[in-house]
Amino acid sequence: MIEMRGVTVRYGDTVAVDDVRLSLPTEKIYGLLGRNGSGKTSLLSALASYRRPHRGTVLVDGVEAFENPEVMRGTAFIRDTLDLNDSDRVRSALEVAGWLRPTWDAEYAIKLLDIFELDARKRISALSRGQRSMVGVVLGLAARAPLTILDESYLGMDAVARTLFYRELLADYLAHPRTIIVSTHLIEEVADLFERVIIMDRGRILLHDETDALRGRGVTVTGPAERVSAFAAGHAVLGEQSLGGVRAVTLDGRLDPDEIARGERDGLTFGPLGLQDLFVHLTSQRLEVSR
Amino acid sequence: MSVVASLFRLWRPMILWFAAILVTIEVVAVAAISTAGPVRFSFWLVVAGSAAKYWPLVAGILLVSMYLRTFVANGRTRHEFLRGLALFAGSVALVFPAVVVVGHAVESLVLGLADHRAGSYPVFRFGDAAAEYLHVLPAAAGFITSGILITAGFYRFRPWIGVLLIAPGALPALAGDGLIKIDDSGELIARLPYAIALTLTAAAVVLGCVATHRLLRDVAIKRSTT
Amino acid sequence: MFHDRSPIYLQIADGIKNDILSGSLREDQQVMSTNQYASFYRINPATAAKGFAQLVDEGVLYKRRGIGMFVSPDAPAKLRAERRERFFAEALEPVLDEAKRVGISVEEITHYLGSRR
Repeated sequence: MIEMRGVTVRYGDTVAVDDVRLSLPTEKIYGLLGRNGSGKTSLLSALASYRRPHRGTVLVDGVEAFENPEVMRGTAFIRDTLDLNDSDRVRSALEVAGWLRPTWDAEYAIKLLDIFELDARKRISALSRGQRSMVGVVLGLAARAPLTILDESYLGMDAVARTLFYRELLADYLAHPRTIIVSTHLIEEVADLFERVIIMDRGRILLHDETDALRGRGVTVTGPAERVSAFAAGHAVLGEQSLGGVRAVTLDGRLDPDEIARGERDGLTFGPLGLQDLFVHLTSQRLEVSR
Repeated sequence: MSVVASLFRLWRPMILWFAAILVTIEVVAVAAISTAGPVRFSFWLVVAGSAAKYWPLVAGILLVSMYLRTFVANGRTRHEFLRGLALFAGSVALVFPAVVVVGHAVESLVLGLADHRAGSYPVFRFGDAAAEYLHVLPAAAGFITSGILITAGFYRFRPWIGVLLIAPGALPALAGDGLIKIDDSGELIARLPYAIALTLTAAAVVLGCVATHRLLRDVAIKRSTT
Repeated sequence: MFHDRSPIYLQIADGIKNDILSGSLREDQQVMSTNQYASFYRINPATAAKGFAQLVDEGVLYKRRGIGMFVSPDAPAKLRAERRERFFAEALEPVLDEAKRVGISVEEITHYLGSRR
């Protein structure tokens, strides 16, 4: 079990992570979602002991993670910026990982280089943004660390590379189950891989649930304004929009079939809400207010 | 592999290249000087003597700025890195002065065999080897400590605080180099009685190590080199 | 393959039920393991496992320890009975509602259906 107990991360007066409590059972794939500046990277930095929280602790299997050699050995945190020196060659970066990581799989690293068509002789500085991300994915997956954290590891990758990345992530997870946390903005293309989803907003955990539980959770209801309003009463409203006498509201939660049938008889139409839309609605209060 | 072993593996090419360049300069320069008659000073003590300060300084700077995150990113704690760093820096501070002394011995011997030593040349004597070594060691130790400490200051704080910390950070280097040195004519100099000068330098180095530990033991791992 | 308008585990369960009804999965035939299924359809294995667990609960599949999951012998008949029951409510009612909205009488519909026979 990985636990965050009241973790707060601050930069001067800015609170990036605000008293976060989170329990993550191990050997699952988690998706961490949140808008820019919502505190994802700060949260992950604290989780990986890259940054000591101002308050609170991170526990891995009951022991404090910060500066704990055993926990550190089992943690791989791949940041979008990569913690490599520009003058390093890909090959030497992998070599160093092999020296230092007891769980490193050199053969698998070579296989991944091959899959991504990366040239191991190249220097990091000579790689494109997408290729750097691929090096990050190679380092992250071949480390086979019990806690693997990939922070926006798809940046700059084209659609083909991203597909290869997701495929390898799943295949390697199936072969070597471990805790994998993936932060992303591209919800729709990876959501199927996540067992659970964590949504962050302004430094707090907005939601932590099974991914499947979010599918079909939101509903849009459209129809004559007053009937829609009457129907929406008693439901959590995520967003609304009006045009003339027509009103559309987005409701949180699952409606039972009888309720939908009744609504349809009243001339309302119901539409499901995709994960991406649900995420946008949950994290965009400001957008709604300003509209 | 341990942190210190990895550091030596990573630095092997840099160490070998630097040694090759140093030896090449020595051979070419001494050969050139010899054509003008007997050699009056030790070129090796000039070149390797200052290299024994500046190479450790640069090494100290790079060790923190480039390698801390390499090791943390590969699953080592800051404390493990700091231990490896101390072993590596200690080895550099101990071995480089020995190289200076051995090089001086070789230069003296070769020039002696060729009968190319002028009267003012500092002839190497085995009985003086230890004293010579102990006059190079403090500066080497002081400079690598300062390199590491000043960089740690910049790593931990904003640049302007880092700049302010340069002055105290330079203390080990200033103590080592200012109190005890060896000049190009081979004269061993200690500004205070040697034992006191050495104690002061050692104290500055130890303080530098403690300060480095304080600065880096829970530092946030930066995204970029500086 | 899957859409995100309803939980994937339900979609998986429905897909396998359809395969059983159409006969592409037969009685006592082994179905894919959750890992095979996850890697084939690129979904999280826990999600796939939940879909299979649902089918085991409903008696559509049965487990053999250490070997895998198989289609229950009575699954096709049971599923067919269920679907027949739901056919009128779920498939036909909406058609009649729409017919009413656009003014098509039940007679017209029966006439049409008669001509399709």
